[in-house]
Amino acid sequence: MASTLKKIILKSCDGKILEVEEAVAVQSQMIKNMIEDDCANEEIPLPDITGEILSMIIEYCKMHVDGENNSNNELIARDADFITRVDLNTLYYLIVAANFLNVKSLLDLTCQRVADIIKGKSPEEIRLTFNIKNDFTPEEEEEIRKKNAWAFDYKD
Amino acid sequence: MFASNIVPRRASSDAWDAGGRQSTGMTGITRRTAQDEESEALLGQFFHEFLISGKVDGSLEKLKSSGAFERGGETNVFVRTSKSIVDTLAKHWTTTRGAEIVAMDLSMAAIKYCFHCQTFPGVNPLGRAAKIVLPSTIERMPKKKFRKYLYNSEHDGNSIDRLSGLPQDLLVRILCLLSLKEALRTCVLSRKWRDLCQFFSGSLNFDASKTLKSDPKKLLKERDGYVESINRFFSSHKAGTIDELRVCFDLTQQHKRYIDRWIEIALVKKCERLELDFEPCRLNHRRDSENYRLGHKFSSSSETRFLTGLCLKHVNVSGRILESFLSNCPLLETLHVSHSEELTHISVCGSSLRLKLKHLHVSFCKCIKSIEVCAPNLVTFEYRGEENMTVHIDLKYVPHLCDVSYAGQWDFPRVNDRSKSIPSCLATSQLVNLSISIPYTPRSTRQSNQNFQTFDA
Repeated sequence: MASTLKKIILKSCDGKILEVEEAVAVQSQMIKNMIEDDCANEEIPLPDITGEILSMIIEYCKMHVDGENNSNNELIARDADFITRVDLNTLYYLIVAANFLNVKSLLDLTCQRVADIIKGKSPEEIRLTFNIKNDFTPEEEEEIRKKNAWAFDYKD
Repeated sequence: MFASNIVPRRASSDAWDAGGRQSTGMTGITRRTAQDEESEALLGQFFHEFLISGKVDGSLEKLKSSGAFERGGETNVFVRTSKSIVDTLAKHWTTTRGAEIVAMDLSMAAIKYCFHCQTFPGVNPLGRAAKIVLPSTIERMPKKKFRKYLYNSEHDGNSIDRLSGLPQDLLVRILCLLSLKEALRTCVLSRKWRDLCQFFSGSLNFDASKTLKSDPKKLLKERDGYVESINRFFSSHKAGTIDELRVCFDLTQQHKRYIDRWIEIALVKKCERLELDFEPCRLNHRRDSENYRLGHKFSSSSETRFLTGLCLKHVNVSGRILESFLSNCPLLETLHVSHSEELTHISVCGSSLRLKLKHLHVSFCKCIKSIEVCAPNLVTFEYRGEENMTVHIDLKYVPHLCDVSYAGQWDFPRVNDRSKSIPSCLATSQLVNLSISIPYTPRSTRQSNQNFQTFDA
């Protein structure tokens, strides 16, 4: 078995090279698999993740490794602190990257964040928040609303 | 997501190789070069047209006829301008998933092309192209620099819909974190979102009790719409499992056919909690006999083995059927029955100590005569009855019962011996909360609420 101090070298798509302790890197299931398959001895290129996003993910993984002995509540509070500092723009990249690297807790956290932003908003507000372009005709939209009237006619 | 970078050259390049072998030496090269020049000129022109008009249909055909898609390798004109273009295009062209995808990728390629060339005289290519590119293609873009440019571009950066650009499985993942109602509301956001709810696998909470029944005159119409909406949902539902089915609206035995089908589908999808609340809306006085009646069909089905919670309100269900449920649901922890006129006797007695039931709630069943409980894991027991109703409650074996709430008439006051007035088992159980309300104070439901460390009669 490799020692826990072994470093894994990650290379972002913009050429940034980051050395990460194995214990931190294995938070990513993808990297863990690579290590198990003995494919992680050279630098691992991550063609779709920028250095900026990669640093954030490593920060997150570190936080989780360092906080292993902390109480669950403390970890939740740290997660919350981490995710509220992230703007929408970065959030999308984090989701894609967490999905690619398969860091489940981060994927859960980021998806939950988007869900929380959607919650309690009307479709119009959601569109505005995320710049979603309505490509329905007014008739089509009305038809969909009618079909699920019970969900749209909200007073709660 | 990195497909565009790794797609190998396919049939198209093989075709070219075959052609290449037929031609000889210099002639071949000269011919190719001439053709390339022609293609390149055409491409330049088509991209330009496409960027100005925003239409891809015509350009696509022309590009195709000019042979732009037919060759791979270093001779391809696309490769010379931007290597990534051909990978994306070749991939989607050979998978023949339809012109739409190619069109999407073409527009993406156009952006790449423009980026590669930095500028295109007279137009703002990124701005125009970005508007017609479907965001789902953005993730395939290999160059972060390029993305950043696109996103942060002063004019267009704020109008890009990044959320819809996420892969579908991630969008579904987000949807499943919402309530069903919130998820359904996202169907109107855009076409991309319209059908995502088919994969919703969380709690199917069809709770219209707050949103509908605004006007009793509209009830019939609302009912039809509601039933149809659930029918439609289930007929297109593609998720393999669901956590919960909750149907809350003024439905009756008339809708049995549909309700049965919903339950059936939910059970097949390994639904863990089932709640039917058919409370009549305020001004709809219906007879109890019109209530939906839960039959044997489900209680004896093995599909119920995943159920951990069963809640039936304003549903007619008999004691026998409930007992049958209990014996077929090894995981059942919560049983809640209210307003069932068919319920006269209920015997919650596990055939063995395996009975997992922890919470039992029986209320306002106007014909109920007796409740018999023998449940090793029962923690809470709640009974509510109407005034002038006497029910015989026999808590035979409830070693873990610690929370009892009772409201209504109990037949214990007739017994003189005080030690028999409260079921003897309670004396030995670790009762923490006992709340008893007798009907002489109708306004208060909880007359006394005392804490017992141990209960000694």
